Amino acid sequence: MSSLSIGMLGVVALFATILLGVNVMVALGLVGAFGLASLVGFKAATAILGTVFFDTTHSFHFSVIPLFLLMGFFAMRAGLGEDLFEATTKWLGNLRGGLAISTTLGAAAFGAASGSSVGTATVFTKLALPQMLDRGYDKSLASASIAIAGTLAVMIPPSALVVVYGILTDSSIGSLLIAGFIPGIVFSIVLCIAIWLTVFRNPKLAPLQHQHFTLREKLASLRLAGPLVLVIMVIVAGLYLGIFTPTEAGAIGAAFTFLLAIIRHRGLKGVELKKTLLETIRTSAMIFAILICALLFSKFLALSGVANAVGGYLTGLEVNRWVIVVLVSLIYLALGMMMDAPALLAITLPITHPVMMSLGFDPIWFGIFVVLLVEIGAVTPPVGINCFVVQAASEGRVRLEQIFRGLVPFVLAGFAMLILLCLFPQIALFLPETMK
Amino acid sequence: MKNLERLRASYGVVLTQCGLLAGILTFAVMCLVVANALLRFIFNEPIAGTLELTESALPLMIFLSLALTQLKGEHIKVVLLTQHFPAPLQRFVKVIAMLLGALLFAWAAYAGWNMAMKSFAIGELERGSIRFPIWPVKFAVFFGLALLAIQFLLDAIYCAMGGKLAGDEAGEAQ
Amino acid sequence: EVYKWITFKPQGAGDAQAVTTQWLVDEFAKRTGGKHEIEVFWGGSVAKTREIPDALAAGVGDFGDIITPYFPDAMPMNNAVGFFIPQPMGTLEVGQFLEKLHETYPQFKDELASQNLYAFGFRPLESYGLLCTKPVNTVKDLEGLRIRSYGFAYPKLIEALGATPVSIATSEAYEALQRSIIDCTPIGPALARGWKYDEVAKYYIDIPLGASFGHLLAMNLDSYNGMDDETKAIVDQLGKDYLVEYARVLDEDRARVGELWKGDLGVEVIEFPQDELLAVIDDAGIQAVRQEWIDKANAAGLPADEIVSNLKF
Ligand code: NA
Ligand code: NA
Repeated sequence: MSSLSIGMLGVVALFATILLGVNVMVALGLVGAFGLASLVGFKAATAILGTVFFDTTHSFHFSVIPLFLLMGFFAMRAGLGEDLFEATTKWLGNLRGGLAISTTLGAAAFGAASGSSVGTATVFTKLALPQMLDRGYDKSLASASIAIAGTLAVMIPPSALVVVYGILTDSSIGSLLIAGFIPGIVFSIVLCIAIWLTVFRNPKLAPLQHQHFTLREKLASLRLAGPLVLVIMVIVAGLYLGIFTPTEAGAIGAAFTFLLAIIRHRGLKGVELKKTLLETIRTSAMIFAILICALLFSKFLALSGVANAVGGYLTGLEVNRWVIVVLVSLIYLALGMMMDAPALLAITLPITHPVMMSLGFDPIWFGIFVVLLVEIGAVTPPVGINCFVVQAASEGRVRLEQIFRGLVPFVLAGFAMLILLCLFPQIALFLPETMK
Repeated sequence: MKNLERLRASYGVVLTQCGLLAGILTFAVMCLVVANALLRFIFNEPIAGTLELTESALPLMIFLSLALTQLKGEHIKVVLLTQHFPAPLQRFVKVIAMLLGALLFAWAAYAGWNMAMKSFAIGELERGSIRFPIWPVKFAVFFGLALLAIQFLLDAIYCAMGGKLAGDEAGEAQ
Repeated sequence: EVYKWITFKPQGAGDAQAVTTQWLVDEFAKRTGGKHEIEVFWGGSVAKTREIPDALAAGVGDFGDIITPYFPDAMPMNNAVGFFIPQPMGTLEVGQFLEKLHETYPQFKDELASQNLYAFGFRPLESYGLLCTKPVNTVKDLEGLRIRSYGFAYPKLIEALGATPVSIATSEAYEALQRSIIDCTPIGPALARGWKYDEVAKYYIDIPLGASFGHLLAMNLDSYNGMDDETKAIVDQLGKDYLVEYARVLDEDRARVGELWKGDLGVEVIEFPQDELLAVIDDAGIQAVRQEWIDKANAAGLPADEIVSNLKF
């Protein structure tokens, strides 16, 4: 059997094992390892298994992933999300769909302190879902708007996924992080418009609530956003003044939100440090397990020649470069249905990044574009990690199918955002170019 | 079955201890990186070895918590198809899935052991502004992989005997 | 036959390393009359930098490039040059020095053979100086500067020069220079351009740190032994020719960067008094690093003093 057909067989085996309920990491790792063994022998596959786990994690860069997660959990303990939610509902509570819109805006602001899509989705399921359901919001709309809002944390810096892109492609992490800022804000506006259009077409999805707040109450609520604004200012100022590097920002943010949590609870007790640390390391372990096993699979895919064949096919196409962009997007959307975001990046970037570079696209722009693509994948069925998280954190209030059903307008909003990025690449490139 | 449940529970205690150690390390790394940045900025005196220590702490953080995450059923899987299977078939598929996990991580643990022994044999050092032996970290990677393989095996047996695993409820697949 | 080459280098890098790797691959096909060829797996897609020796030894690939300084404990002899910073040799000389060591002393080949590896060529790095965000004219000016350090030799050298060693990862050095987290980094012009550090640091201090070694162009020993004598000879000759070609392309690169620096980029090159650098070599920390290699070489039965004499100014 030729290497190429072994590679194809591996892809089929991967999909089959995942669908049969095998842990995604096991499916990736096992198909990858056996695939390697069939290409270059058992001994060679064992050598790769022996190095990949240590060498991937023995890294200063990747230390930001647990630290960004820690920061997100501390921010949750510090009540940053709760406060923010309260402030936004005072201002937008009386708009139709206002609760969903304020959830989106709250998640966007929270994203400036959290680097994790999953973490943000968890926070806002706890904060916003009960309130929306209590006020008669449609379950699909409520839960799906939270699942997609989580992705804003990845667009808006800091972002662990953007760091992953920077490492995998040797791009400037500083530029990438800054670049995500405006697209994150634009995307949150696009999502708000999507919510507004959805409830405009079907008002029953979000009943109006008549609850009046005086201007004084509204202004007073702004104070609640203070701590979060402070976190953002500390990080931005620290990076700008050269007190710490982008990689160190994770630790600084975690330490600062830890302090805020202590202040909020007037002591260490309410912070639930042990629980927080355990949650952090379990989520980190989950991410790294997927990441490393995806690397195993991607090594197999590369060695089988499938990767080169796809890359060669894409570069060899004598078509307009935007046709390639569409093809690449379709590949990501298709794979994104099956795969987790970091894994997807690890598998595909060695193929797509050189192709896009040879077509003259900017590496920073492509970083933002591809991160948005894989984040759309984070909500699409069957493997939509944000939806899993929302479902799990909802304590049985919503079912997985309901979340997936509610996602249609938001996935369309994602496509709209992709098109905006193509039409106006400056959305991503303006800030990094100005900062230089 | 009772014995198995007891075994699983006490194994879980070990895993939680490992996880706590990983959590404490995460917190320590946070403190170290912050202290290093502040001392570097204010006194021009970075803490020698911050980069090397952080780099070497990460494998410990990850591999000490890998098995705990499996115990809690938090490694991602897809049950969209299998949840419609009849119960006996569902259990059969689940047992196979767990056995495959045990196979992969047993293989990885074996490979990790070889690498750790090799590193130990040459006395491999982490070298930078400070130096320390790196082979203990490689043994920790082996240890974490082995713990996970064992957890998968326990889960397979438990599931085969009719036990319910964490993360199996209501089609959730977190 | 189609041999596999596993490398960390991205194909699109376009630097001397990537360009000459492609040259070598093309040349191999030409010299074997198309009987054999090499397929390259670029950009760490099959094995990342630190995985390459083990992967290559186990037969994941037949060819590969090993970043020697990453493996001071696994291949101490072949790391000879890395323990001696600064040293007087440039790129071509370091490559030829390694070639001579491998021809003269069996210990160098044996060290690799014991790991099922064979080196047919050597790729030193370019000569390094310091790229700084402020002018440095004498050793006095280095006092208190924060200089990026990495590996096993730089920390002691930087301390001996009166500066503060700061460990910063390569990909973060750009931001670190830009925001004054570090003031200088040891680097050569071509690499400085590659990482775009010269956008944010405008002084290149021509302090003769020497050309570091570097990369082994290595083969899986079984793959090498499995070749017929004719092909083996082609591979070995190709390794030697590679060094010349690589040094040529690298020189061109450095000249090109020099022009850019004089032009739009506006990087000022400052001569650093060599005697001030040589004055610190006797520092105890630097000597301890060197002694570590000398001890290991003696233990391996090598005439360490004779070898080391080449590394002295
Ligand atoms: Na964020
Ligand atoms: Na998906």
